[in-house]
Amino acid sequence: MDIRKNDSYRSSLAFYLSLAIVTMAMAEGVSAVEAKTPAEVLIATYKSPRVIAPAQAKSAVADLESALADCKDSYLAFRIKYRIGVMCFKAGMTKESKVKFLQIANDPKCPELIRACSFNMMGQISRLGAENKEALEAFNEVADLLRQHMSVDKGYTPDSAIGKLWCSALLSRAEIYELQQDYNASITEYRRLLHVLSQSKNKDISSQYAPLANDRISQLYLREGDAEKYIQLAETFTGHYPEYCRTPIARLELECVKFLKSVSANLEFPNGSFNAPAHVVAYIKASNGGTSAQGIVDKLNRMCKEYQNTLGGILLQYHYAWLLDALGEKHKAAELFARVFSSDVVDAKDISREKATTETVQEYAKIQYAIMAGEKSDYNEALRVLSSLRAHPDGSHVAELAESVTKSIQTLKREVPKNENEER
Amino acid sequence: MIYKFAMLCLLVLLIYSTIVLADNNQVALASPQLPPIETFLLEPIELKNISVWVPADKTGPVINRSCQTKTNCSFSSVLPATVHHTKTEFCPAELARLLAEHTAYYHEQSLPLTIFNGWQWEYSYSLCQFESVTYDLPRRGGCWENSWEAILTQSTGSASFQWIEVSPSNKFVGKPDSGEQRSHIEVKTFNSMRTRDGYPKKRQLP
Repeated sequence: MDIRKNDSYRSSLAFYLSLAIVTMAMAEGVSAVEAKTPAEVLIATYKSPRVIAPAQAKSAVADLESALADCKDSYLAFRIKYRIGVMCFKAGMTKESKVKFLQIANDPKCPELIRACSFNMMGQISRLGAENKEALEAFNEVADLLRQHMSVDKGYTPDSAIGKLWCSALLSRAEIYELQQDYNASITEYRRLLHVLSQSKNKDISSQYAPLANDRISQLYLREGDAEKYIQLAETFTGHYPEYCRTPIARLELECVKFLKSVSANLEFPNGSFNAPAHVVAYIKASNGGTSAQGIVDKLNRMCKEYQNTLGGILLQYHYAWLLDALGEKHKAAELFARVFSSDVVDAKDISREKATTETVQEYAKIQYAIMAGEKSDYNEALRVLSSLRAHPDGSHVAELAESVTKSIQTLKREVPKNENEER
Repeated sequence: MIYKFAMLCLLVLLIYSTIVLADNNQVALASPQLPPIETFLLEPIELKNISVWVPADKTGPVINRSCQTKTNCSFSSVLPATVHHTKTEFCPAELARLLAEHTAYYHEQSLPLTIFNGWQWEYSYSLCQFESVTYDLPRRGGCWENSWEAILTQSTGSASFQWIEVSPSNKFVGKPDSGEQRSHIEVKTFNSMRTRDGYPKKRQLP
């Protein structure tokens, strides 16, 4: 009996002992699975949605700060610090974010790429906060740090992420200077960008930024009063980049600037060339046409044929129609207005950017056509075209104009049914 | 028997716990590969300006059928300036304001940059160009009609940002959601308003 009791006691003891050990081992195992390493904490922040609420971002920052305290790896520590800055920025805590990036960027032990990204974040935050001096300095640091990576032999062409970062830093500097009306400094930044793009073997990235930079430089020359350099550059880049969305209209603007300079050498273009075509029409209206306009009329006629059924071509035709109207060629002008509003655009690569412009000129072309049809007593045609106008918000210029023109045509139709619109 | 069973359980569970711990040690020793560095970029400001002649206003024919001549009749024409400025929910307000500042440069002669809510360019006065004329109407069918033209300057722009991922291997460019968050602006102003050639028309209707 005693012996059996003793055996039973031993086996029970062994069972409970093993159970306790196993429970402890499993508990240890589970806690080891749940406790994340600093690297895992960092990775976890990438799983959050790209747009996050401030509360979520603050919680992630708290996790990262706790992970940073346990981190022994220097590179990982810089990554975590950088990530804290990013999460603060996402949470709208821009001051805290900027302080963090400043600490990282000024640390000489910081790896170069993280340093460049930190300067980039400082530049972007400063620019958004209208602290342009700080933004310019930070973007310059980005450009300097990454410059050595931009050489072709290292394989970092501007189509890479580092290339994009570098291009963005220079474009930001150029845009800041442009807004400050420091045109020379802005031109310098665009030229720095073009220099690197010229070394790129990737034609896609070159065609994305190079025509834009050239276009902007040419405009800056004109704004600061150097029409010769504008003409030279505009002629070159419109020839090099026929596919650039602004090429058709840039060519027209170029011809108009040349024309205006030929009739008035002192004329200035403080806003650039975009209003030159309207100024040519104004000049012709004021000077009652004349032979001096024939050259530009011929050029515009050729360009309209060249860019037929493209978004740029619609704007060219619209300007051309007004030019002919100013020269007294009403019939041809009306035909062109009709072509403008009935054009189907074949080349719609850049439709989102150009859509608003095209819609605007097509709607005004309809109204102008209706006015001209009314002048010829073709009231039914005028009313037909007016009825095809899109709905516009109440109070908008097009809505009010369409109403007044329609009312006017209806009254004329009722009161002057025959062609009695000549002055008596 | 029970003793043997207990020992067997102990052995199995010890093996299990050893495997789990070994796994965890492995996780701790070999750090997982870190994701690329994420950084924020403002895209170049997209701004398209056009300046075109447009029909500005049309009035009449105003007809006087009465026996009395009417003199010094007046007509006013107002061309409204419009600013339509929006941003998506998570687009930073500062980015939208930056877009307004870039656009305002091209309209500073006609329109002040009036910022509300820290970012939005609003313009509530509506007056861009104003024209007032007077005319006389002869009796029994005297008729007057006018048409104006003006230069419309329209700026259409947008500003957006992108999160790009940069890694030492330099393989990543951009994120698929780039450009979703953005600010749009459309500003219209008028200048150089003038009477169209051939107007005002003064007629005598039957």
